[in-house]
Amino acid sequence: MQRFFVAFWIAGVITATVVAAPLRVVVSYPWIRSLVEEIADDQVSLYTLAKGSEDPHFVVPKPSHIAKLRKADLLIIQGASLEIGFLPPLVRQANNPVIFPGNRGFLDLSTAVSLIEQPQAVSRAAGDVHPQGHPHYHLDPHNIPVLARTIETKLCDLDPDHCPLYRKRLEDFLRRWQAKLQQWDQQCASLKGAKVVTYHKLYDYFLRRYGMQLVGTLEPLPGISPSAKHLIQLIQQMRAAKVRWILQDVYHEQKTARYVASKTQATVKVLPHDVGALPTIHSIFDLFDYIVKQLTVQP
Amino acid sequence: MWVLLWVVLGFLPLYGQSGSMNPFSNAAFVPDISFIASSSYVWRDVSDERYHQLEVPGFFCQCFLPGEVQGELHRDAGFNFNYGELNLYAAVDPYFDLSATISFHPEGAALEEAYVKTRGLPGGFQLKIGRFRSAFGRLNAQHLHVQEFSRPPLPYQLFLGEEGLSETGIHLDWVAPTDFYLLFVLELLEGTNPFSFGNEGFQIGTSEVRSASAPGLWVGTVKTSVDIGDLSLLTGVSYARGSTRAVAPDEVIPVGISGVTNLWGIELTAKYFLDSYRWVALQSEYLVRMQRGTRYTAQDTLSVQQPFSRSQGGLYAQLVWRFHRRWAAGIQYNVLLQNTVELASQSLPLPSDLSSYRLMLEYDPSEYSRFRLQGEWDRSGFWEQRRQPVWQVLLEAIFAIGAHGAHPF
Repeated sequence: MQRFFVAFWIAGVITATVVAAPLRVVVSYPWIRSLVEEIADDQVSLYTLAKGSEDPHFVVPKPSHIAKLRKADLLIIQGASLEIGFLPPLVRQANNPVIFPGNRGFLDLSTAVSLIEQPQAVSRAAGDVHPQGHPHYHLDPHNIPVLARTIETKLCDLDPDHCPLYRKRLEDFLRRWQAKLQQWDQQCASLKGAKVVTYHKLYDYFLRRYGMQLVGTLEPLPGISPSAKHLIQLIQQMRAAKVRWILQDVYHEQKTARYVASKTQATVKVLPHDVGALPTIHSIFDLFDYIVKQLTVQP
Repeated sequence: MWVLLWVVLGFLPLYGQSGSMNPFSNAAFVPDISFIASSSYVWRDVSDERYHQLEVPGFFCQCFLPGEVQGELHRDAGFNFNYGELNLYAAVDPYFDLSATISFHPEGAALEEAYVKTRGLPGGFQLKIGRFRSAFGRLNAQHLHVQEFSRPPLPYQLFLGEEGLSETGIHLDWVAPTDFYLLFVLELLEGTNPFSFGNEGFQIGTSEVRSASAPGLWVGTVKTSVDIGDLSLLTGVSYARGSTRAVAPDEVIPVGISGVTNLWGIELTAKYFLDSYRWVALQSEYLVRMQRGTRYTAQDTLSVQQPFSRSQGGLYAQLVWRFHRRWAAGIQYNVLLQNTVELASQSLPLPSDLSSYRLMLEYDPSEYSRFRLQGEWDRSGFWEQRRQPVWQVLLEAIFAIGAHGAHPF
């Protein structure tokens, strides 16, 4: 029992010494980190759970993440069940009620945007479905301003002392983003009507924004690996529809895409889905610059 | 008759024609429910009858305590239904979460776990109250369907039984506010596990042994983890101490033991992640049991009491390679390195090279279904004082439906 009190006392001392430290923010994905960096600069300490090159659905639930969540003041997630495969046990093991869903130190960004493809009925017979809707909403560049604003509001709530700085940096970010949006919208005007196939239903928000048409996916169902039967059908469909590109993410195997491309007129475009997905993507600006460039610069 | 019913019903006033059908509905509060089923096909080179008579010297045998080595998993040759596991999980109120696991077998059901966990303790603490799997060691807290092989490793089977240390009590854990993962666990449990503990008194011949005071089992665990690039290391030490009461009164010569048991466990997991889907993991645990007490026997009217002690230790080491998102292969080596039993200051002549080898190949059509082929060569069983090696092949199928949470590291 005595030992227990000693442990409690040590915990108290450590807690007391860290009160003055900057806001500790844990984010699930690197693109969220990039937004927090834009708004908070180095005013907050940041930790990212996922690597940009990983499949966002399958992030490794390392015990080291638990240590970071244990001390976090704020947890920002993408939501819409994207993190359901790894985050719930980490949060439960972290013994930190501050970041529990519904509490003040928890921010689910999916609540700030309207999600597309909300299923009428869900069944696992349809693969890995997300009951709340399509979770990869950050790939519509027009969603970014509202997401940045949501983060700024939360940071101001938790750290009012630095709110003027967050606000100033947000306005600056939004100005730069707006200029970029105009440029991207202009460049992507030519993409309207372009027919594409993707590996997973990943880029739908981008396709929707620029009027591109998704003919099919290499996966027969979300999260289910390509099958020969499905690919034969898809190849026929692609030939008939004259599909231009196969949009391939960085984390799935690329053999299937190359095979399908060789049987059709389509070319494979490897696109990042997150900051850090490719070595040259360092920020959320780089992410969209790269995607837009890949799709608009010939061939 | 039907006409009468039709007429009567026709005259009854109709309620519920407008507005909400059931304003008192609680349907939205249904907890997360999932169900996991495991069945298997078993082939082995000895008959079921012989297999169930196998003894492990120093653990279950007439020389010490009778009992079956093999449990309910993959019990007989041919098809087996191993378990159906119903899981319920929801927040009770702002203060507690409740989770329950009910395990169904063809012969009946058992409440495997039912506990509440605090939601808001400050300072990195968490309290569990109820019946739960103890945090002892690496594998004990893991449900069977999470483990990489179709049976618990040999040291677990021998020291804690196939179902592990699952007890009623309280559990307090604390995650240290360090930059690396550091977890402390302290548990106070009833101590009813029949393989190493137990607290119910018994009578053998004229000797009467009183029940041990309960709760009588303390468990403490410390775990830590560090990352070196894509390699994650998790290591820990566990200790359990409790009183022991075990009896087999129905045998020709009834046997009972009463004493104190200390169980130590040391664990190491090294998991290297190749990418999102592929990893290689080396995992090993060494379990040591030190038991001391009195052994009671009776023949006709003669009661015999002898002091005894057992020091036994064993380890398992396994290498699992998930070489594809849908495929994994693994090998597991189990061995007992120490098996010393002293009865009335006399050491019993026991073999210590008790080992078993397991190989597995797994295919997962999705995250919710799993087929596993496991081959085993088990050299730990004895029949009529002679070693009886057993070859077996298991094909296990595990399916999960419903709202089943993700698994930790």
